[in-house]
Amino acid sequence: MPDQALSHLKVLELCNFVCGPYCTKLLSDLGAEVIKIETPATGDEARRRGPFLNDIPDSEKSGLFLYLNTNKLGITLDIETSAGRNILKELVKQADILVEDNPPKKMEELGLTYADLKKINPRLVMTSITPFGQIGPYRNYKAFELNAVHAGGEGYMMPIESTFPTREPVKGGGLVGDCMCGLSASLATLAASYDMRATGMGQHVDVSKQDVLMTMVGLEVAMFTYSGIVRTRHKRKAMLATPKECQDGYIMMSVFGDRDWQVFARLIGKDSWAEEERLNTSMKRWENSDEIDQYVETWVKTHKKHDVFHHLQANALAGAPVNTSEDLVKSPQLKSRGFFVEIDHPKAGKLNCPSVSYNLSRTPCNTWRAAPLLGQHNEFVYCERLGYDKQALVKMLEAGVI
Amino acid sequence: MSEQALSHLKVIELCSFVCGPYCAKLLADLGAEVIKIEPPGVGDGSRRRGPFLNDIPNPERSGLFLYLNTNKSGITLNIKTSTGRDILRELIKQTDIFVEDNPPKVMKELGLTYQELKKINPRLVMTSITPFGQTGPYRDYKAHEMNLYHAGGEGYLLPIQSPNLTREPVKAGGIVGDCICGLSAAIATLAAAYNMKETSVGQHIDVSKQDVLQTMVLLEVAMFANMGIVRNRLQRPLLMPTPMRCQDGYIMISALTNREWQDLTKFMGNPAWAADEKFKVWITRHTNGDEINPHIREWVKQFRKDELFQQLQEKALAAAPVNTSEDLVNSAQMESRGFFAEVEHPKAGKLKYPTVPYKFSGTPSKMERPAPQLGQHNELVYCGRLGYDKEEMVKLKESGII
Repeated sequence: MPDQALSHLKVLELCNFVCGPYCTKLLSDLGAEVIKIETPATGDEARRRGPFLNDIPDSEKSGLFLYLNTNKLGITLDIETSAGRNILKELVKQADILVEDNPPKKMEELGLTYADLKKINPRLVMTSITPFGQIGPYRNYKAFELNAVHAGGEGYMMPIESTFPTREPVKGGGLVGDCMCGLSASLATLAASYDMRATGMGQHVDVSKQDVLMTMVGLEVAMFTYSGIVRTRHKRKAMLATPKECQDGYIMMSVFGDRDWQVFARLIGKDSWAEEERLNTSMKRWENSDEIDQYVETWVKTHKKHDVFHHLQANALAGAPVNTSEDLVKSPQLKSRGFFVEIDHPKAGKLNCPSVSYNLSRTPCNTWRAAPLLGQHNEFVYCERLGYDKQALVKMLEAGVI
Repeated sequence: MSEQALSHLKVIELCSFVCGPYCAKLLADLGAEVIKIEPPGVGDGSRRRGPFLNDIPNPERSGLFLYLNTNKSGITLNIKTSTGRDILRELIKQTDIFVEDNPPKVMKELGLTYQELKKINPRLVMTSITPFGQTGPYRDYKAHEMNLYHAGGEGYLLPIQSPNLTREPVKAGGIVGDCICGLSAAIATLAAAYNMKETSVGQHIDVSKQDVLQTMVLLEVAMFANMGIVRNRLQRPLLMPTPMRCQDGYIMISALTNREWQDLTKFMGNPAWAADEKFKVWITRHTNGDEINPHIREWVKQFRKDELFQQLQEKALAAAPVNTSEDLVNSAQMESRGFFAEVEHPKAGKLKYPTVPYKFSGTPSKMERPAPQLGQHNELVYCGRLGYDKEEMVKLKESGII
């Protein structure tokens, strides 16, 4: 069996909740060995967040934790103790990458800054993920995903196409903000690892969540710098700007260009529109978008969303149904791509998990291990990797170090 | 001067609009040499999208194109001609990475599949970004960012906290969907590049945009897969789920723990309503959010958003203002991080660009070059790299191949 793309990379994770764990999950799903360090007894904050299987709270059965920590090894370690910090440093000596999400001042107090750690491992790539970055006046400020999304400028644009300018901004659904930050951190970490392989030297990667979320609205930010225009969430005149309601849900259709327009007009039974001069340019269609949208809205009401979707695609028109999570899990496309994998977990049982969004032809992401139980790999890591004997392990456990 | 993290990586980009160019931009901004291939005469579709400087359309002055193509070299090449394809193959022989976003059937018709290209360069990492992936019944379907956003399941959750379900779903602002897909593609590409450096063997990466967008609503998808629950955008009773209006804009405040709740109410002057027994615990604070939120909304009104933001942070409470693009460009934090870089472009002049959301201690990213003008680096690449002489180049130009 071929190795996975990152089989030879060793990663330490000292993170909580979504963003940092998602960053290292992306690496572990690509084959990297990720050792997740959790606080003894309590563990990662995500363990206490739902959804829980059958709605019964259990720190080994949080859906959020189980999803974000697949393919990782899990150990417990209290880095607030000096014994704990010494063990962490031993682990750092053997690692290629350390990903952490603590406030800069905390890492300074604990003597765990990059400047400290590079002395013991000059090859180390250390990635620090914080709400506002390692420098600047906000460096130690606190912000969760909800706050960071709005700080990044994306929230101000939402909900798009708002009829009422007085409607307050909202953020994206789910934990999409933290996922994007985890993705960016992962990319930067890989770039630094690639450089480390070439040069033998590591470095510190400082990821600011606000910066990440801002690059996602790069265009709007650039627009302000170019033209002084502050884009908002207010409705603008546009053709088919939002999803239209079908019999059984919504469809999002896009008609760009004259060819698409003519095909589309015939498809919705408005052959005359395909010929009419008053609608023969995108500018003219934009001017008449209220009329067009009104007709399309009536038309889609008599159709099912997947019928419209396949009909559009058969005519090389862009469109997609507004999928619910149920649609996705049942989708023939995703089934055919093997997007969901079944993973067995000792406490939570068999789980259906979303896998990765890319298929690598030679080194596929095809081994799936469930999220670790709290401290599940303590013995493996402390005894086999660091050479402690079992008695020492018991002592550390009693002293609350692990 | 230190090199950048990806200085030794050579990339060919055959993509248009946002997603693929953003993927290659992420690599270019980290130092990789990216040669962007555009169709002669017309160039990338994003050249014809605004915002344009002073609202005057000009393919060399599209804000979207300028932002997405910094730090790249640009050449023109018509791959619909067989000479064009021969030249592309010569370029591929010299490259590490090839990023493309064409429908699988087009690449097949042109004889440019991975199977064929790996024969001429076994080290090649080829990344194909398509709406629904290289396999499955939807493989040749057409969909733009606004369609896929909904296909991925994120749209169904938006706008979050909707008072009722008759409000149609919307997507997030900007072109965030395509940016997320570009980011994911860049991670997979770097993982494969890292592996190629170890093994000297490349591979094909098949990125499905629908899959990417779906992994962003992981929790909702996993919830249905394992519990049969379909999450939607309907309002749920929650404590401070959306931003609140200040004198001059909005602020997003979070109080997750008991400590934070106590500190927040103390800051508010311990109002009588807050003493209610049912607000003492996290869970009933949320279920009774409708009772609490109006009080906080009223209290917030007296502040300016940045003033309240600073005060909350001083009390270690998580919060962030809802920033507009203007706020971001003028932010002290951004300035201190050097997030914006000024670059001179021969046609568009001196413009301020958002840079990367991560800082590398050893190999800092540099904004070295603005987006290329159409065909700007033809001579450098065709003569310098492939050894054509100038007369041959003129012939290629006359026959519409470059």
